[in-house]
Amino acid sequence: MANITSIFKKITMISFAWFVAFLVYANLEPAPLHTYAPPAAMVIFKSTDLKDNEKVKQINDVLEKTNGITANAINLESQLISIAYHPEKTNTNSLKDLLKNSCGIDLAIATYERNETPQPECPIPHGVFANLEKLKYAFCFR
Amino acid sequence: MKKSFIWSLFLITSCLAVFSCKKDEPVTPTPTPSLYDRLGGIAAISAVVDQFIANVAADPEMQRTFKPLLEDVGKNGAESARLRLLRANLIDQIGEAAGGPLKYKGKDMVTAHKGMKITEKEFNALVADLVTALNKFKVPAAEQNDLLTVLGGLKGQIVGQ
Repeated sequence: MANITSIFKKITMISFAWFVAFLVYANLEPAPLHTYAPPAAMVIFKSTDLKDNEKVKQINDVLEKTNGITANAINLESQLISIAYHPEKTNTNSLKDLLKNSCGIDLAIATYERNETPQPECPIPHGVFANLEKLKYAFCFR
Repeated sequence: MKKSFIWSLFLITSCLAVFSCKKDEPVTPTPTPSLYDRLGGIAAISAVVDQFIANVAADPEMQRTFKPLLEDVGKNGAESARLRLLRANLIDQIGEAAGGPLKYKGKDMVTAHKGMKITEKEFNALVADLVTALNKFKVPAAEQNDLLTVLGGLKGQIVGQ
């Protein structure tokens, strides 16, 4: 029993030390400006149905009125529609359905072929760093 | 009654004497708000940055330069790390260039564009995309010029690296 209590105490002490260290690290410098901006994601659609400026205007009007979209650009020449959106308010599939139903256009997510040989990449997923950064700034009180 | 009238008259006269003798203090001009404040702070800057990235992503002139970013967006969608990083850096950089409160901590422009071989035409197309974004949010000409002057100074560090 005494042994368990001692282990528990040690774990508590170590956890507390880690927490204090993390708190100090998080407050070494103030959070950068971008942490105050709402998060945004992006999707790029390709559509061969982009034929004229009238269609461009129609799509733009639909997107402007849609909640959760922060920006959009439609280019006739490249036949690309890029949409920046708040990921907690909408998603790629909803946007695709919206444009298909409201504007009658077929869309596919634009794909880009890689010409160069792939560069070596960090094996740790980028999302891990992003979440660590979020956690760090959540504990930043400067 | 007469006494109180005299006292009131004395009080008014004293006040008039004091205030009329008050020396005019030098008028300190109100400080001109920074470009960051005139643009509308973080909310406006992030909206302009989102529009700017959307313009770039759809612009045929920009497909070569931004291919790694576009690939990442196509592959990872909302989880695109490159997009998140570019957006964060642009917000910080434009915010700092406009006199905002915090600092850009990304790579310097020469290092960030090393090996990209960005041409003058591509740089001009990029500026045009930024101007389109500023126009969409009806940023006044004076603020646009101020911002473009600051960012235009980086041209030498971006083109031809």
